[in-house]
Amino acid sequence: MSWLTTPPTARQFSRVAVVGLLAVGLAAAGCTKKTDSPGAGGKLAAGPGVTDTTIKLGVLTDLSGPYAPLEKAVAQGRALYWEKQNNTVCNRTVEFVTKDHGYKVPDATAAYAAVKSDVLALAELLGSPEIAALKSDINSDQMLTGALSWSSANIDNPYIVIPGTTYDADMINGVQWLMDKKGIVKGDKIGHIYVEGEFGENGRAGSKVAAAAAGLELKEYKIGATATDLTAQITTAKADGVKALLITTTPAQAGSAVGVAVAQGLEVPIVASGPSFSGTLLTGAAKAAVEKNMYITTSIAAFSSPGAGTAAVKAALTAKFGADLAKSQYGLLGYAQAQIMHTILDTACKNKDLTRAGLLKAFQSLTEVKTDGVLPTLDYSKIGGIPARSSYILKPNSATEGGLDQIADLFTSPTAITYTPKK
Amino acid sequence: MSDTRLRPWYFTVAGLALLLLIPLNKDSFYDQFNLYFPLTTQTFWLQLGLYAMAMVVAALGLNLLLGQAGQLSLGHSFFVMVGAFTYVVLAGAEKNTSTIHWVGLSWPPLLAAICAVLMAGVCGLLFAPVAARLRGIYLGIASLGLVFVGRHLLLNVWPEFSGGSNGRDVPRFELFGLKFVTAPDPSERLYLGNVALGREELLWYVFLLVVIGAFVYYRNLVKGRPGRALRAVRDRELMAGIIGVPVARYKGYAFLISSMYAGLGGVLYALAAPSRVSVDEFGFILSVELLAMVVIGGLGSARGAVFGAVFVWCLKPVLNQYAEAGSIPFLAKPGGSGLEPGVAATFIYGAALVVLLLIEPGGAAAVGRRLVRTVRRAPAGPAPNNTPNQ
Amino acid sequence: MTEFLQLLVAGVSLGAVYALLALGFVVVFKATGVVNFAHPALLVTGAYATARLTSTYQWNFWLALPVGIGGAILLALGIQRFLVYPMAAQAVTAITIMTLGADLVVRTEVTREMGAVDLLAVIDPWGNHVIRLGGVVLPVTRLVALVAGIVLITAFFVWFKLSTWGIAMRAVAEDPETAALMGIRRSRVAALAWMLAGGLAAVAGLFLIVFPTPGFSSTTYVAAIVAFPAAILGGLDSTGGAIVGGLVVGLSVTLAQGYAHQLNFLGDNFYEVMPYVVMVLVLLVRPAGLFGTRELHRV
Repeated sequence: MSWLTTPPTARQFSRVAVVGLLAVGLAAAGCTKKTDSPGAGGKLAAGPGVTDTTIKLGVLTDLSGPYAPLEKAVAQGRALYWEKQNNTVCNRTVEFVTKDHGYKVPDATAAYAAVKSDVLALAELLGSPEIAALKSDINSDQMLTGALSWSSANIDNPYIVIPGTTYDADMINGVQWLMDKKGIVKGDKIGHIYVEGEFGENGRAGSKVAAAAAGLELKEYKIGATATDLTAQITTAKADGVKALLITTTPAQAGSAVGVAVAQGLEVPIVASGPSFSGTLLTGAAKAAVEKNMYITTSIAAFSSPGAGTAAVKAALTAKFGADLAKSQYGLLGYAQAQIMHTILDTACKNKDLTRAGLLKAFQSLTEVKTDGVLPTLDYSKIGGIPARSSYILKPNSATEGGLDQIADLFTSPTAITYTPKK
Repeated sequence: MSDTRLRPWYFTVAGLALLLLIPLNKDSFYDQFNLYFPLTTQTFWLQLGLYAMAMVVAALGLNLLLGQAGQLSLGHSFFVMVGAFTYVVLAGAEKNTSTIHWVGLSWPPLLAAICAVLMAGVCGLLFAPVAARLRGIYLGIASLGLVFVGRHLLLNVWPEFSGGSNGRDVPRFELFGLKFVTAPDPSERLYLGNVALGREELLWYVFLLVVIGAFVYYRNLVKGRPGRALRAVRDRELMAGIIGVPVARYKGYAFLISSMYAGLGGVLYALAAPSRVSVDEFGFILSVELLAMVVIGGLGSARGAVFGAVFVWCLKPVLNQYAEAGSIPFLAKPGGSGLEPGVAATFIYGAALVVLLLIEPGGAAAVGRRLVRTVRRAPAGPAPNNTPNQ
Repeated sequence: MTEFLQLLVAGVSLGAVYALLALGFVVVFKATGVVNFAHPALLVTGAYATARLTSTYQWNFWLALPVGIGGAILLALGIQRFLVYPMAAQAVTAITIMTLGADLVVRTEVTREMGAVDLLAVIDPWGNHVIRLGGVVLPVTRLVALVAGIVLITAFFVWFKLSTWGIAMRAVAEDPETAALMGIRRSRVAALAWMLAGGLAAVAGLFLIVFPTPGFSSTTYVAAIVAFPAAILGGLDSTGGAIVGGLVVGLSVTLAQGYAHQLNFLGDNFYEVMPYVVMVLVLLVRPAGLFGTRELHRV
């Protein structure tokens, strides 16, 4: 490219000029504004991804990153549910377009861009950071999204379907249970160990509200996402004199906290958010401590929940997947989430409107969605509100399938009934 | 360039023409001219290309620092982050809800972009005295510290700038009244023939201009006096000082220019992002990827940096795309068994780093030069004048 | 006061683990001049192997541990022989970057091997037992880590100073050309250095996945990255410096976590950047680390 460093010769210059003029000419010749004619509708208004025989739904999830194990269980539950429906809704076959984002935001945005014109809605979008990044696109594309996150920060987006009670409401119920059953009284100190990020922040928002309402003193201990050893935080909590601990972290971090608490003699009840528990905590040295003092507050029924509906789902899952079954409550969740999506599609079908706007209308018309007892009854009609406010209290038990026993059935704390998450 | 057959500039012009025409391959644009243009260009690919172009600019900066000046920097992603977030803060609007507190100055986007690049340069200058005192791997690890400290500052100390762990919205680019958005109403959009020019298409052309400008400037710099001085500092620092090269000043200069390139890359990255950027996208992993881009491309080679950036950035999404269709046999379809495309991509470019350095430490640039030499084994004329440090 | 003592004890015992990590890193640098960015991969391999063998295959811990350590040593040897040695003529920067690539490949493979499990516990003989000294609680695992660290480090220094191989390694570190002339095979010394690094990393890895951590997970390798600032602040070519660096980092990180409330003004989770802040502060005063030798430059 000698013409870059030495003055170009006349011949070189003219070649470049020709090419340049061509490009500019093309551009100038073409720039116009144009009206577009919309497609004609049939007897059923149809949106993207809908044909006479199929409906396409997107699944943007983590298949290779830290939440791959969770996703495996969810996918099994979803597969079971749709199999029971013969994979059909509204006389059309349901097809899933699955993309792996590995829990990385740029990959998730790329995957979304790849599927958004091909699918009617997202059956699943996993990950709080991914949801946060795609929120405005979801809004402008009117893409109904089955979120795999229970953060109440998402209620400002009408297209996001939250499958259950949000983390903050769960925590409020958890604190209530501590006061009802574990002897925590007004004036006591409680500690909350939470991980940085939307998940932890949302849990802490709940405990703040609960502590204020109950007259408890809340001590907060924030940790980084990659922390593995929580000795220092427990040491400080013990020195602060907390009577109970709340945890909203990853399972590995929760395992460390619970283990160290017992070892250091901080024998207090520990209530953790749902995703802070994983069956793997019941293997190895953490097991004894986890079974001793740890409780989980979540709106997803335990895998071995005593309810008849959930028992039937569990039996069906076991029958279908046998030894490959991921024995976890997230299998039940996958089933329930699919059921919610099916209900929305079904309602939209009855309204003869399978467009994205039609899906939204159908979604917002649902006041009582039942999921065979996996989740509490969900009410999606309150725009800008949370769909459910009640939680189970579950206790880890290595002898139980799925690792959790139900020790308190769905209940709602008075504080949770009137709680409004900040938008 | 004495060979009369394959002139390099044929390829350059052809490549440029290709790049100019890519976004137009939609809605039968080429049918009007009875042309067949096979490249698929859904928004996905344009989006990928935008990110790749941002990485090209950042990689050119690191190439300058590492390849020309010989300063090992593992902290390049810090300057990229500074560029991105300075742009977002300067051009963005303030937002205050009960969960979101963003500081924004709502400046015109072009002004904000320029200032963001300057800010990154200032940060580079500030780091330069530290860099001058340190050598080799000490500098590398100290610059790594920059990445972690920078992340901490933006994430935890100044979440009003960065939006905290969820990130914050990127303001749309605007130039002389033309808004770079995809208008939801089709009748509002700008058309070229019958192809709608949405956000990605418009940004594509602007990015192309910026990348070409950055590339040309880099080549000029490297071929000129500053380049020679930097190479002198890299190869024989003490000797360079003795013959009169102001070593500390040139080291500072290298940091200034390379961090400005990084800042520009950061601004482009932010503009390329569909809606948000967050601090965690600019961490240690990005620093390693930038290093991989520069090394795989060939240290010191500008064209190599371009290749390396495109290769490393696009590998995983491309594999993902084709694996999902089942086109690649050993890769798993999503949810299926076998090797996940994301995992395979990491294997490939990790292995590429290893194998390339084992066999051809000059990177893809050296491989390219070897190919060109074998193709051009012409009887007439001397071998083409490939300077080893371009 | 108990709180401070508790944090001190926890910090020192964590520091011993980091010291082992940093030592392995420095040994490779001293003997070969290579900055080994594959160190996290060595740690992860050893830790994963031990965890997998004891939990999934239910091997006896005392059988699984040597196999795990052996795996890390083999990996280190493999990297040295097949990747680093052929590149001996290349610039050290190139080799360093190549180790980055190797690190990426190995860690990705280990993550893949983990499969659909997020946590892999190690069945170790010490469990979550603790000993109480006054008001301070010390996990047995950390006590073992301290003792193992002291034993290994002392053994290493004795060996380094007195044994033939140790002297050979020091000779190569000081003046490779003369050492070669004296008949010391650089490749042998390099292989030995890498094997040592692998072993030390594996032992450190073990202590990072037993109590108070519940097991091996995808974030275990992050702890290994702390070895870099620890080794740098001690001086990259000083084995003593590595020990000091590890202890300093372990202590400062633990104290920063414990006193997080008081350090609030520095931002949340300041402890995460503590190693780097300390490192930069040290480097500003001593650009080659606390005990490192300043480079002499040839014209």
